[in-house]
Amino acid sequence: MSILLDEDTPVLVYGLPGIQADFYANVMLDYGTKVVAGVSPRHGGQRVLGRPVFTTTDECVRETGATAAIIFADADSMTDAILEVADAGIKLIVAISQGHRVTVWDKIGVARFLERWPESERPVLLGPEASGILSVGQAMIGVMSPHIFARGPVGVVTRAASLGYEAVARLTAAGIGQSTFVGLGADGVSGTEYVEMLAHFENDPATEAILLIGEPGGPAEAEAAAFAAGMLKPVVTFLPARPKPTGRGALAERIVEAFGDQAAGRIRQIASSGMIPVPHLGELTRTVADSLTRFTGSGRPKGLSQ
Amino acid sequence: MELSEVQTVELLREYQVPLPISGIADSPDAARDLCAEIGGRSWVVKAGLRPDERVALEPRIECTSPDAVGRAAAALLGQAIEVAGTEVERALERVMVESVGEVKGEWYLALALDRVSSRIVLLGSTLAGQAVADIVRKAGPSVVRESVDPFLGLQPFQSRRFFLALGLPLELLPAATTALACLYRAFADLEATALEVSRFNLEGATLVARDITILFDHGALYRNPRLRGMIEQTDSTWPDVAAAEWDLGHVSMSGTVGLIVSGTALGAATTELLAEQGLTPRGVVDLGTEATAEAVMAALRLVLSHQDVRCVLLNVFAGFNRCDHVVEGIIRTMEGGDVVPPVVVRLNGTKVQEGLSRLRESGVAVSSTASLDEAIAMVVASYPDGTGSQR
Repeated sequence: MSILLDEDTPVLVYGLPGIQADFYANVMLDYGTKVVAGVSPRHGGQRVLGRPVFTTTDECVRETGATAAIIFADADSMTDAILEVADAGIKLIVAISQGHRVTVWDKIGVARFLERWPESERPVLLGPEASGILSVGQAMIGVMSPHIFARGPVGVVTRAASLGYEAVARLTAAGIGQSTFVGLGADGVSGTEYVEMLAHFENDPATEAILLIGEPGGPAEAEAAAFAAGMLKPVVTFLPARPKPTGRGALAERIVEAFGDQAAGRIRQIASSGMIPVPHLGELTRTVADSLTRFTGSGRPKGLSQ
Repeated sequence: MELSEVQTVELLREYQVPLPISGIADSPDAARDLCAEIGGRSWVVKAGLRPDERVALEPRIECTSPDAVGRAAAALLGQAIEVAGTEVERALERVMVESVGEVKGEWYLALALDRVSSRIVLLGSTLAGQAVADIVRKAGPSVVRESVDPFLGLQPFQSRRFFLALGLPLELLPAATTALACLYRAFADLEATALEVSRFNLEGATLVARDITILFDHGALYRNPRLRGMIEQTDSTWPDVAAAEWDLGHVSMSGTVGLIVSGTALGAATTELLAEQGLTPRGVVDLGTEATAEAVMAALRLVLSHQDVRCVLLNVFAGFNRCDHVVEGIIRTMEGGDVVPPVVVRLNGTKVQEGLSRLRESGVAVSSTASLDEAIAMVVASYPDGTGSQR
């Protein structure tokens, strides 16, 4: 078992053919992902990697039954691509922006568009600038390097792509495998949040503990901490503090921290929550290994089982 | 990304924001003479011509006579400024002089983009001229806020409610609402992430927006060539400029390890691991998720521009990045010569085997490994006298 993605999930690659799309579509196919088709506004009608390429996502979904998508697009076309794919009814979207990053204002537009669905039906959006999702031994939709993963009981959800890979490589080296890896994407404007992933992991029989990687003091992390307190499975969290710059910090962050709509949510402390903190990267595998011994699967709250 | 005050004023003038009358002077005499030209009851002298000057020097000197303006200019001109994040020093060559009318009221106001709620935060306070952190501390509950829907924009009723809550006289509401609408339009048009008016003043019978800072999403610069051009006008040794050119993140610190990473969080975790060994970065450069060889070269130039860097650690765990592209940048930099400190390269992820093999075959003098723990040990080993003394 796994969450959101398995070897039977039909996946379309938006932006195929394309240099990056070709490269990662091949990696995905090699890993066993059921890549069914490509979508490209300019290359419809071609066949790439033995798959048909459609001009529109609507047509692609109709013809192939794709339910998940990975988008490779330039920052300028990313909003359009995400909206097209979501509008066609795709429920799992990984967005990889090429070249420039998608602007914050564009991401806000995407977030607003996705609000048209009630929360229970809203597509899961990883990105833009996400690493994607990988269910170990089954399938991947993303740009990660599959050789670092090994099958096992730890669900990983991360905002940080590289640090997520680092954590996975350490777990694998220590003989601790993973169930599903989810890279949410960098800045949390438009995409899906930790909490939704924690809920999926809680219900996944293959997952016994969750590793959450993010930033300390963030509202999404605080929300995740509150949610984790009500979970049966242990949630280990690694939130390394950003290096403090000499000189002044970013004004926008200081203003939002102080006055943002979510400012109140930041007061909640991770320490007093249901999450188990990793003090530093060197302690990561030990903390995760300890947490695995805590989960009994008996349905009793963690910590009360001994 | 940030602009100088002169550039900020130039931009905002196009949006009809009510701004103070100002001029630029390159000598104390010229500064004194400016006073008659621009008028006013008092004046403010600023080092406002480059973004880093605001950080380095007393941001504003208030003067009540033209002679005082001359003295203030004399005090500022010729002062050495360290270009942020480098050891390069240069002298301040020009100052900005602003005229000030009879101040009858002062407010603080700011706009910022709240990523979490996908809304714009508008906030105001009567604590004009203070840092936002101090305003929160001193006036937390009395701060006035409005949440703006970016697709509808700031509505006039919100402006009226906002200014009334700040205690603005009723007869000023139309002018204040118009001024705020202009500021908001600039903020949205330029895809800013924050805009701060430290002093929103009532001077005589008119409103004036003073001491303005605007920050931009540097990811949005590519579609705003004019803004990009303005930022490039500033000295290219300024790290933010180099950083923007290649989409690099940059944090300046006080240690001796030149750290280059793929991703801010990996940078944070690596910094913590270094701290365990008694080491601190001099700077952390973030390559982001899709670094080209050229971006890697720029990042190496950036960390090597710090004279006190004693060791370089490049830590990339590639996904969308590719180790082979990163290695290309390392080899080209090393073959270009002049790299004095030892360089430790840690690579893992996409194309790691190709990357490490190519690096080793090239014969350039770097230590390389796929393991971060090994890389940290290599960094520690490059401090033959131990790491304790460098902090």
